[in-house]
Amino acid sequence: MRWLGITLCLLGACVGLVAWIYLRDRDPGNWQLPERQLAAADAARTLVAFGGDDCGRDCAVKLVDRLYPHHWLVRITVRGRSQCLQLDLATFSTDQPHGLAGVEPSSCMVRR
Amino acid sequence: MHTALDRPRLWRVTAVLAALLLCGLVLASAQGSLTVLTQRPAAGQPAALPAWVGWCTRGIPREDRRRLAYCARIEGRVIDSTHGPGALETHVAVVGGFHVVLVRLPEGAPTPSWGTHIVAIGPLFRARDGQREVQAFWLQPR
Repeated sequence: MRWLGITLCLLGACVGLVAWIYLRDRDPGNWQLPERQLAAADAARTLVAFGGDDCGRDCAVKLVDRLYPHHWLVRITVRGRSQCLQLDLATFSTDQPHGLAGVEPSSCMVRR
Repeated sequence: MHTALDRPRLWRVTAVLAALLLCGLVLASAQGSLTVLTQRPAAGQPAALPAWVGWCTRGIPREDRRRLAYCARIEGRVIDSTHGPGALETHVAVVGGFHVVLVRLPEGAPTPSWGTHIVAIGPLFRARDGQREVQAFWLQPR
């Protein structure tokens, strides 16, 4: 049993070393989701802000493309009417007194 | 259960293997180094600076990331590589001096394979995933 204990200690040291190297330089305040997930979440909140949260199949949201860093093109359908919007993930907010921030109407064509 | 655990010879072998694994990890992560130059050096002190500092201004630093330091030099081994999201964008993860640093390769630079020893120099940023990232203005596989 002594060798088993030594094995477990050594494996624990391996895991501890790798975790320490991986975590030591990270910014603990910057554990962000992947950009696609952030964009999907913001797009869903935009759909709700457009009144599309209670119309079932007539309402939908789709990520069209990533235009450039932090900017996504999304297509929103509310009661059968579709339009494309550009989301700026860095400035997106639904807490503005006059509506949404970080959302702009856009063509559905992807321009690069 | 007790019989399965009561195998001293087996556990002696696993202990030796675990010790070898630990030694390998220590050796692999200890080699190389990370040097960070936090501020742009004053104009009057070029003699005191390492020669690689000259490469810190040979490119245009990106503006979409938080800059952590004026410049950094990472020397270590490549442990991973990713392409995108831009068409010519390639990042590699480098371990050296007990640090993990991402390196954004210059556009068009060939992607070093796993285990390649590289040196990269450039401004230091905070990558989107929270790690530190060097935007390589100079890159040399060794």
